[in-house]
Amino acid sequence: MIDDALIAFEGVTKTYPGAGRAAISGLDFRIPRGAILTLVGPSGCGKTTTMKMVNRLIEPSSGRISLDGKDVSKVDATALRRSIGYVIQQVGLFPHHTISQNVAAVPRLLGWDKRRTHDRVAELLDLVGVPMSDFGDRYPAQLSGGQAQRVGVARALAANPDVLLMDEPFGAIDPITRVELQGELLRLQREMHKTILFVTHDIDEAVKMGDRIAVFDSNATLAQYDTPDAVLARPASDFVRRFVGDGAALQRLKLRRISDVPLVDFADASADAPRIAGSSTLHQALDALLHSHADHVVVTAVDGGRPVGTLSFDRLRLALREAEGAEREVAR
Amino acid sequence: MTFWEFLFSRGDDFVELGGQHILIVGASLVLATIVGVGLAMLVYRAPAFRELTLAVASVIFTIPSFALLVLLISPLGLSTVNVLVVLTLYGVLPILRNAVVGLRGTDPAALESAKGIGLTPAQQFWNVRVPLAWPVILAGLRVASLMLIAIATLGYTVLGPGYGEFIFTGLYRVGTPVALNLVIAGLLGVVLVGVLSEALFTILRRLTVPQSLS
Ligand SMILES: Nc1ncnc2c1ncn2[C@@H]1O[C@H](COP(=O)(O)OP(=O)(O)O)[C@@H](O)[C@H]1O
Ligand SMILES: [Mg+2]
Repeated sequence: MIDDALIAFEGVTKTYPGAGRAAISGLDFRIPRGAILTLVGPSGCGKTTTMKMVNRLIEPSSGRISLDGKDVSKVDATALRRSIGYVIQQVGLFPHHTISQNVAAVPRLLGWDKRRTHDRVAELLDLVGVPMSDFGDRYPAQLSGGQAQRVGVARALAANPDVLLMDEPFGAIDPITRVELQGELLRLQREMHKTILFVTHDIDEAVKMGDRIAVFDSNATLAQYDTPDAVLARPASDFVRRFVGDGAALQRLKLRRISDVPLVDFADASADAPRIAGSSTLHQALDALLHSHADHVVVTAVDGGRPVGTLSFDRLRLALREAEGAEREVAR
Repeated sequence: MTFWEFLFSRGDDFVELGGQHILIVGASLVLATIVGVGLAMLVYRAPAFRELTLAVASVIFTIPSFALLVLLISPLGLSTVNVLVVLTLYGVLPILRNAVVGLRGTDPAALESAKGIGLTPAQQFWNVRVPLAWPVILAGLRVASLMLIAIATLGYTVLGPGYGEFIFTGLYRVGTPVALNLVIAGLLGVVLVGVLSEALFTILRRLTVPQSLS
């Protein structure tokens, strides 16, 4: 089957000169066009190495990486990098350039004219919530960590690349801002449909951000490549099971919305049952259930709050099982 | 004769020596910058060469300047060129050292992203590394300038230009009424040139270093 993969790793191995063992070995996977692949694993398992081979910051020792069907080793490295967005944990804005100049970096390298560059920078800074009118003339040192990384994302998007590489982009940001930025990246992605390779060491973040997850083993191999739900429901090895940790079922509840599961008629709903909107996740429904005396929640329509059904503990459990069954069907 | 009367009577000399002092220091500073920054650019990434170059520059720096001036009399004679060479040699060390520190100290994240978004190696160097190192390089020039202004006075021992003439003439005439005035005039001149240097470097810094880096 030829799927519509934008990035493909074929038998890729990287051994650093002088290193006793490979930093990553026998990598074979594809990233579908328009999907976010999260690369997750313990520190030192080769995530950064893998990511940097895509834009040739690191050259593989063997194997092939292709982008849109073209072997990246045949593409001029500088041109390749200009066509791929790059975001790192340390942000790496140019401290001597203003925010606007930072975002304009790649368009300038590509020789865009002033007008077009300016308009694009203004558009992007608006999009990431650091408007040009307030922040354009500031310097990076004058931004908070969260704002700086927003600008980092804007810079990566400036020339409208198809592919984004993000290496623990929110790893150095406080938890509250991190959740905000994760949400905003997902919101942007719904409109952009970029192909994103997103590196993280945090399984929760991997589950939240990824359409697919690649779990790397501590011995530098790919342990599992699957949907987040499948990784949580059916870890491929003891390593993955341990890495996913406790609470896999709870995590899975976060992946599903109430409106995705069949509800029971609300006719005999009890009066003290909590109400919750159909757009909430099953996780939020469970939380509401645990907080109340009732054994079910009343689900309301996404618009307006009219009750549309009820959801009980049993139903929640069933929903997870059914999801697993459905996954199996798809897998076949 | 009070000092001020003396200074007034020798006003023309004072201004002329000042001009000479500034010229010899300025010229050797330019040469030392070319050599120091140039060497730094060549060696900052190669540990062995870097250490060797810094060691050589340090050894030159430890030779007493007076001795070096005398040493160079046989090849270069009693001349301005002799002073120019000595000042240049002395100026290299602080400039080289700061340039190496600056070029090596560039924020690794900025360089990493510069490479990652597709700057060519030359662009990474000239558009990111050098501008970020510039405040440190400039600080080296500033120190070197002050140092050379002071050392330049010794140049008169090989009949070089500048305020050394006042100071050494005063020294030769110790005991005469004019001696102290000569020495003080020389010192005043050197201090004024020093203040001028500080002022120039302050302005240069304002003009060339973005506020975010200072
Ligand atoms: N430039 C390098 N030279 C030598 N070894 C390296 C280099 N970069 C990474 N490594 C080694 O390769 C392994 C994988 O590193 P990395 O890809 O950075 O892991 P991760 O991003 O998952 O933490 C580690 O053992 C690391 O020490
Ligand atoms: Mg890493």
